[in-house]
Amino acid sequence: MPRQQHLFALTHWLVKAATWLSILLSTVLVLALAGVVVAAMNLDGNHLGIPAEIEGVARGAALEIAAAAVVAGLCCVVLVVFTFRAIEGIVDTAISGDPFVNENADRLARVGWLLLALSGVGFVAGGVIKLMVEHLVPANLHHHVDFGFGTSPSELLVVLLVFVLAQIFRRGSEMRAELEGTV
Amino acid sequence: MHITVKLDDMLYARRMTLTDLADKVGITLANLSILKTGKAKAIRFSTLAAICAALECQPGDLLTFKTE
Repeated sequence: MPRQQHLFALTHWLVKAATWLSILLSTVLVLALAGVVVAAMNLDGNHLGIPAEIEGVARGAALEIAAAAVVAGLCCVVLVVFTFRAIEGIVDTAISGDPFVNENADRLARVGWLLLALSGVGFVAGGVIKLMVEHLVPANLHHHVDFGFGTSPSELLVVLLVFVLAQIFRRGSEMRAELEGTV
Repeated sequence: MHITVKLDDMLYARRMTLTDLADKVGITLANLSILKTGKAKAIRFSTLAAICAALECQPGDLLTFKTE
């Protein structure tokens, strides 16, 4: 097996494993969301064993922030699963020896949109959670509440790069189609 | 509006088969068949030159332009 094929096979298995891990993570997040909802419905009763204050933050406020973080996390994981599926499709065509097809250009463009959406979710969730923390959590505890949501210029640069690659791929697949009929 | 390849006529005139031409030109029989049946989208100058050399003809003897 040539070296390239080894790389494609390794990528295929890594992406497959990452997809399953993401699906597992999404299940955990759904369960966490259900837990937060159940806890929020029993705010007045103490029978669930949740203390009135969690690390100095009121129980209601902590649950609201947790719910926002879990929902944002779930959105991110779903987007990541779709991204991995698209990458798996591209790698599969590379393994079969014919990656220069129009479908891969579509897949790359989809990856670009998904990464942009991921960046958008991170940006919105980061902002919303920061606002919630500022309003619901005492000032001296702000630095304790950080879920790592946000976006960076490098993410947007990657999105741009993927869109450019998608267009290059589309042109490449058109050229390939032309070449197929050339004698 | 398209280009037709008169490979059949030239082969008949030279009393040559497609297999003979494939052997002389060094192009696969499958590719020559694509050319002969008009399924080719393009032809390389190198292919055209090799066919012209083998059939002792000019490109104009092989290709015709039709308006419909």
